[in-house]
Amino acid sequence: MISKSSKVTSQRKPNDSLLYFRKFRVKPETSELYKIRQFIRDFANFIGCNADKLAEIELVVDEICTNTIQYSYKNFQYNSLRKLIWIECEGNSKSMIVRIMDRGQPFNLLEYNAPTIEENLKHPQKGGWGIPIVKALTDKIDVFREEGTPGKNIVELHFKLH
Amino acid sequence: MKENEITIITSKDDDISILQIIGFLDAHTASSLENAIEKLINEDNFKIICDCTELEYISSAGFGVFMEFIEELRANGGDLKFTGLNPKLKNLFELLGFNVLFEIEDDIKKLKSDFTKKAK
Repeated sequence: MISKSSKVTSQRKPNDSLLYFRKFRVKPETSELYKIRQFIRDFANFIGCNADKLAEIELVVDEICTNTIQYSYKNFQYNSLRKLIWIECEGNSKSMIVRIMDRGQPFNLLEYNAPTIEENLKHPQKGGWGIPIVKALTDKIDVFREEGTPGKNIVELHFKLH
Repeated sequence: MKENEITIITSKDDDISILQIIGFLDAHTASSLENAIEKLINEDNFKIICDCTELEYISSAGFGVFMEFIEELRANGGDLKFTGLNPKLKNLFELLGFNVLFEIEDDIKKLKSDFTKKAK
């Protein structure tokens, strides 16, 4: 299964503003992370996101997907055709939402008591940097779990662009 | 260079090792940096300057590698210092407090002389 992205679609909101959408699916492998970053960059550029914000969104999405690859899908027991990461972007010039979905082990990053950046600096260690970066750079995070066999994890990242 | 590639070039200036990090440092490529620093430590090189002039991208996997070795380097009289950070990377280093933990200088000569001063 190769990575695949949809075309950008749009929808007019009740207040007459346009909202743009684009989807992407990719194998959960670290060698594919750059494709995820490219997808995010293309969409963010399309909606007019500035370079600094774009770099932050790219990094946050990379961190979430890295977690999914290294932990959620570590012991996946189902058909490998279902072992994918799905990403949906929606946004316009004011805000962007990135929805990241997988079928691996559930992990709620909001409930995970990650060390703070200050704690990490006091006790240097290799791991534990991803979640603090995500929390520091994202305006709002929602985490959902759809039960099933296998179930689905959804992380929704909200970014204000101005 | 593809966005999932990294090149690490190691050079020496007296007892200071300079690691030129070129490309993209993420969970896929971090092991290359890890191996390069490990090799230096195994050969008793504890003073390291990371030249990030051509570093295009870094994620937490890259920061993790720096943190993995910092205590060992310092325990052996060495350190890890950074030069050549572009504004985007500098912001990220500041966000994570790395500017407090590590010496970051645009001028590599200053980093080298700080290593020398510390040794005296």
